Amino acid sequence: MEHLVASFGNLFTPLPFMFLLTGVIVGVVVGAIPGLSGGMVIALTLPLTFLMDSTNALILLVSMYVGSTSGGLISATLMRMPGTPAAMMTILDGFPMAKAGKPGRALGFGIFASFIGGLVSWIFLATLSPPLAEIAVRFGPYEIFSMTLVALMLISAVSTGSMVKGLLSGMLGIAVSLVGVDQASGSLRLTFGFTDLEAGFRLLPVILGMLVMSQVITDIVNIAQPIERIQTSFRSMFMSLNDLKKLWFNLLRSSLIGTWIGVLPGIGGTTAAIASYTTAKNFSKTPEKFGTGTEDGIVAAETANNAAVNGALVPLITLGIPGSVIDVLLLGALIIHNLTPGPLLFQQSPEIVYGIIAAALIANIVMFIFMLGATPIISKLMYVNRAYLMPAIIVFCVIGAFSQGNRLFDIWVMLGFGIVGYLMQTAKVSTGPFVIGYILAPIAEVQLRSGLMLYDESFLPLITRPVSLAFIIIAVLTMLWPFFGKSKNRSNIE
Amino acid sequence: MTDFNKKYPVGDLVFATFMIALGIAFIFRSFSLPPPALEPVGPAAFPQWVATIQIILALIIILRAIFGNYQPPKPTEYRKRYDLAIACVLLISAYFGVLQLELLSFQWATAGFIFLLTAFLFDWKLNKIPVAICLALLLGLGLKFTFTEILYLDLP
Repeated sequence: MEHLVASFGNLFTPLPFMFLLTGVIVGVVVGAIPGLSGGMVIALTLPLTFLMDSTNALILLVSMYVGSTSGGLISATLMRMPGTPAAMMTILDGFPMAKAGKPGRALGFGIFASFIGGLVSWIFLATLSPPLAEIAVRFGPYEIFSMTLVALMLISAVSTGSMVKGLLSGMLGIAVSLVGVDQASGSLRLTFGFTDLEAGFRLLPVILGMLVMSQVITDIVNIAQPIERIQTSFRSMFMSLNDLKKLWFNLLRSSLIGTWIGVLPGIGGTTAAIASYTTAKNFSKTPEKFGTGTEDGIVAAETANNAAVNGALVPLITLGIPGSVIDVLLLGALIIHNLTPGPLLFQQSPEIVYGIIAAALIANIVMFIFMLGATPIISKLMYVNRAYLMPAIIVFCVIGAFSQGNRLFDIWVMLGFGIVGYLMQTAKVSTGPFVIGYILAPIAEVQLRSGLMLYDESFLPLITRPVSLAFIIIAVLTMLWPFFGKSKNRSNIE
Repeated sequence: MTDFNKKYPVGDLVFATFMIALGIAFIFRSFSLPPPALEPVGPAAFPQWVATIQIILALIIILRAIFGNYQPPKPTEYRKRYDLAIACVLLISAYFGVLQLELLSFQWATAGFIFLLTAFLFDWKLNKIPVAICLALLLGLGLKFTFTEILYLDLP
């Protein structure tokens, strides 16, 4: 508790608060601009955090995460384009309501719902994480391996479209991570005689290429895409007491759904919004109004996708398991700052963990105030021509790719992965699984081989140790879940 | 009878073929790795497992692409600018080449690149040229100053 209080105290000192404010503002603006995303801005910001204090770096990145998830609702409501994938379901009712002449009301409901979702899920984040970490700290290599296996199985859960393609994308990520020095034996592998590959493919060039450059190329191809504009007025952005009375149960239910789905590894905000929206529709007395501009639809989608942000932070900070692609980037940030993700983080760097928890709450409050005040301005920024932004984004990618190892080879790697990422997108292969595979595979390999050394070359403890067995069962269920979940969700939405 | 009008998902076929080629290369290369010393897995096992799964999944995609019922995507209402994307990728490569060969310093190479790319993206519309010049100078010189003098990061 004293760590949490100290972290709140630290957050209100000038420098950390400035990072938090910057993170929220940049996150909201970027989240609102279609074609840019939270993942993209966090990947671009990672190199800027090299020389920063680790706590401040994580405060900045978590604030961006909170801001970008919320910012997506502005373009979803006013342009029928989700600024972030998690805002996809907001379009269904946000845009019709805005088009019917009530954009202020649609945005106001979305902002308030985001705030409540963040608030409720934060309570779970703050109360669940410390005891969970205390249990997890007793885990051995096989438990950590099977836990990582759960996260790797997320590959199937985060795959949009074909699951086989998603798995293949994950396998490519794993394959890329294997190049270079084998961490367990120290021998070089899969370098094909290229000395530049001896250090392997570094994190930032690969991530910037896959997530940012590929998106830039996609945006250039689609530069002629027309954008639907609607007349906006921002009156009645505040919820009345009557509205609150009508919607409190939906707010609470959607918060709980979002938090729970967020805690489940890899499923993330988009699925949380779909599940919450579907539940709200199923329980509604007027389900026929869903999709025509009902408050219930906006509230269900926006509450859940924001609740999922804090929910996903629970497995990330306690177990080192990322809940979504953005969480993988946060995991990458911890690695870049020489911190070991996982249960030991609570013991070794409590200021970081509690800094993250405190930032998640304050960023949510700042997001609420900022969005209520600045949405009219942000809604104008959304229409900024992307041609002005792309050159700057590319130069930031160059600086980011170069900065990790001061090697020009890395900027070519970044471009190469950008082209591969673009080709994958055109073949409808999701790049999210690639990132998860790339980050987690080395951890899984090292832990498995450490376990083999520890348990006399036996694989048996993987299923005889109860925690390891439990994780393996969860891993199998995670892999199989999309077969049932996706078809069920689809039929519900239809 | 063979249906010559049948359309295939070319993207899927290219991606899967690339993955098979990569998988085969990984398997062959992993044979030259040292045998396991302290544990039974060794450095070669993971690449071999991954490559094998990769090849199986890629084969599934190829079989689906050939025998499945492929629906080509609907044409978009706007023109896709593949030409512009290729030109931009070539321009980016030229920018990296200039940095690699140290033909220009970072700030001038960046300023030139930003000007050309912005002009390309606006199809060389004359009214956008002054904006492109301002953006180029601002970012080229500004980024150099910010990263080297304030953030103390090395630049290419």
